[in-house]
Amino acid sequence: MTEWTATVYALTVAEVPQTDDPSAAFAAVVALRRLADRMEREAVDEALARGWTWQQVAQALGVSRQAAHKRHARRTRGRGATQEDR
Amino acid sequence: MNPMKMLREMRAIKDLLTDAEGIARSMGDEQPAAEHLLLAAFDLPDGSADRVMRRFGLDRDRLRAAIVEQHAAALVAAGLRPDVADQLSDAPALEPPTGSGIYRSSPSAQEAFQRAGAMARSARRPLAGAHIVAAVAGMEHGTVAQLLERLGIERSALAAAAADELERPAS
Repeated sequence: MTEWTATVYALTVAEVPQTDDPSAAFAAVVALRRLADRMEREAVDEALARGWTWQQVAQALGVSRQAAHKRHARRTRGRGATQEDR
Repeated sequence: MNPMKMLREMRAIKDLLTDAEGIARSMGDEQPAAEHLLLAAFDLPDGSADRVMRRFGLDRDRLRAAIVEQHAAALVAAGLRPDVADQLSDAPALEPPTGSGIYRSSPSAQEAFQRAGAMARSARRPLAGAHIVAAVAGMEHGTVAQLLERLGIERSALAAAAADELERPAS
């Protein structure tokens, strides 16, 4: 089980607490966004390693190719094939 | 300000921002936020951030651990099991910054840095670590505010301690 599937599993089995405190709700949003960013980085790295193009990555993420490239190219530059041009 | 002092201050600010970026990436965050700027302030040569935070029982390592714990607590509040939250909150490090290109930071780091700079300018003195502490203590919301609340540290008390430190004559 990969880390992110473990996370999804953990989310589905846990009972999501209810809060009416906006600060606590925002803190949860920030923590989940941080986790989602990490999952996205790991998924993009894995996809590129498997030969996905930026167009495919962008489509899977539901963003433009330019947006996906801008967000991840700096980190992934120099790894694998010349994915940046695809 | 004489040119040599100005140069020293510019170098200290550059080191502070570079250090904050390195800390953020070592904690698995792409861009430094206010909490990373606070951690970086511990290493400013004036030593005032370290002295202020130690009044509240926090050294750099303890604060860093408390930030990770804060992320874990927020994940639990979002519905993750505590054991999974603990595991996921301590994110693996990203590659260190290359030192080239545009410096990027999160809005919370920009706000803290701007607040600290404004305080230093208004007092007509170089930027000190305690200015960063006072700046983040002044931020009502966000990770640092949540963290301080969880640790039982009043933001007003932290700001007062930072102000007290800044009034001390330089040694």
